[in-house]
Amino acid sequence: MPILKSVTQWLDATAKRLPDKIAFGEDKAGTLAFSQLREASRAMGTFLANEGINKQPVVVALDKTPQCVAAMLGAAYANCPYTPLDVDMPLKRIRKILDTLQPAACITDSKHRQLMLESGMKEGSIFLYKDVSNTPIDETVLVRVHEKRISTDLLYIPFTSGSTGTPKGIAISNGNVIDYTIQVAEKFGFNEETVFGQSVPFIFDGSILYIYQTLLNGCTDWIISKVDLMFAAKTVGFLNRHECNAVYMMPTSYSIIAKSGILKKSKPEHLQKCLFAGEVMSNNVLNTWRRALPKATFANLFGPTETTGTCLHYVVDRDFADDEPLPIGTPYENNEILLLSEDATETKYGEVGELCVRGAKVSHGYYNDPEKTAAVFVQNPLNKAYRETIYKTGDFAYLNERDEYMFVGRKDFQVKLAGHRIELGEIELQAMTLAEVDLCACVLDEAAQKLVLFYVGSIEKKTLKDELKRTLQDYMVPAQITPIDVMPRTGTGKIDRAALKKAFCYRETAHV
Amino acid sequence: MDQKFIDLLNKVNEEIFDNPDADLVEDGVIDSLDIMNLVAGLEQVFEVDFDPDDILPENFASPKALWELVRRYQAEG
Repeated sequence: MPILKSVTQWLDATAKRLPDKIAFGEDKAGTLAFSQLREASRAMGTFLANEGINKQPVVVALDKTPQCVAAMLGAAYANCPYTPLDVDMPLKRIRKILDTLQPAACITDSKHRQLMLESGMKEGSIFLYKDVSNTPIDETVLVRVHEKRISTDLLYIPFTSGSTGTPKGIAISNGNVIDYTIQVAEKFGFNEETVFGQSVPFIFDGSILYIYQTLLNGCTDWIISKVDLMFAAKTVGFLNRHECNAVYMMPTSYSIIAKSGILKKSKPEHLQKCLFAGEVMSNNVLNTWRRALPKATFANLFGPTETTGTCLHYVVDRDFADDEPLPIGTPYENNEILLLSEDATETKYGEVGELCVRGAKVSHGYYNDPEKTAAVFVQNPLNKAYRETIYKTGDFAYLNERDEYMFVGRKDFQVKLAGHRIELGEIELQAMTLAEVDLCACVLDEAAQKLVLFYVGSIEKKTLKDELKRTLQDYMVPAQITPIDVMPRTGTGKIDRAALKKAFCYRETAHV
Repeated sequence: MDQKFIDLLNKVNEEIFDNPDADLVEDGVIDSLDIMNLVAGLEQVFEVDFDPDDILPENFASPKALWELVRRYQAEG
């Protein structure tokens, strides 16, 4: 039996077994069958290898299409970690990512070539998909790459928000993804019959479920366009047209569909498996879906990108009132969850503790950032005998009487909005870089589901907003910016965010 | 266009009226939450019921297109 060291081996096997089956498809960009996908990615793998690029990061800046998957796997065939870039990202953020990553190459299209040049990529390192995907495949070169690679070599480096304003790149290996993919396949029974409707973009770690389940099992993954996702009728139409039987979406996507009322008229008829993660699911929304699709399986998944994919799952197996919190469930097989208290000991049964993860899918830390890595990828304090790294999530949880983990909250100022992890500190930092801003505080108005930035300073709020749009990801730009005269403080002199929320957020939402 | 309509749109997303030539959907001016809030707000203010089949990109591409939809609902009573 050959040693499984790279996800590319799954593509090799599936392309042999199901060469003409559609692997990835998108309404405008077309489809790639497994053999076509393998050919295109091996062409790009050959290209990169011939350029002498090995075990160095490759950035992929393409639209959300099957071709994007081919480019990412192209890097994988060359044993180079890939980083998907959202082409709508602000330039400043792309520059920060490239600064940390120091990529050896970028695969993009003519539409985005200029953007990549402006981001700091050297002209000679920018390659166009249409050119490199036609490279004649060199078997010898690819065999040599495969012979030398090992499973702990990195597969991809996704970036998340960072509280100091610098996005963090998470070093995820082939071994990590292999471990995760097999766990998910085993738990949810994805197989050759599975037809995915992919909502999430490739910069979201949720996308690795779609990509690698497809490669492992020979599923088909239909990629939903950004515009279709904004409109419930279009999303449901898409899912029916392509007969999708599995989705893994953020609760916001379920919510848009539920609240539109469309499920009363037309349902995604074929859906059997509905997974969700990334933010708290409203039971109201969940129950609307459960009534519409009584035979479907609904599951809440939980886990940070630093552990490759989700670590916990809860398959909804009973009724929930609107205000009853949904469990985050139990760990996948081959994962262990530890709840640690402040003094690094295990909590007693039922006590709240910090959720820590132990296992083969704990990633290899933050790329080019040993300091941040050391802070949260730590020696398991319960293990004095040998080196074992666990990841401290900064999430708090407890075990309920049914032995299900229940999420309590975040440690710091990281919030979730529409599935994005947002460091409030990053937003405040950007605002503070402006001379005309003296003080500021950013809060999440949970009721209105929007970010609110309060500031003391001479700048006009429109000017401040325009500035933030230049430097922050669009989802991080506060929907509401409110100038105030005096910043409220707590007894210890800290900014009193609770007071801000109470005084201003309630007033705004009262009208909606 | 009714002033109440303009006020509501501005409240949901203050950029909606910034660029008269923009396609609000294709150009990414409004997002899915905006659409949800627009529908909820319009239903409340104008006492109409949106047919989910009408919640399509073409009806949200501009304030004018959206206003025409609201007027149609009002006429249908």
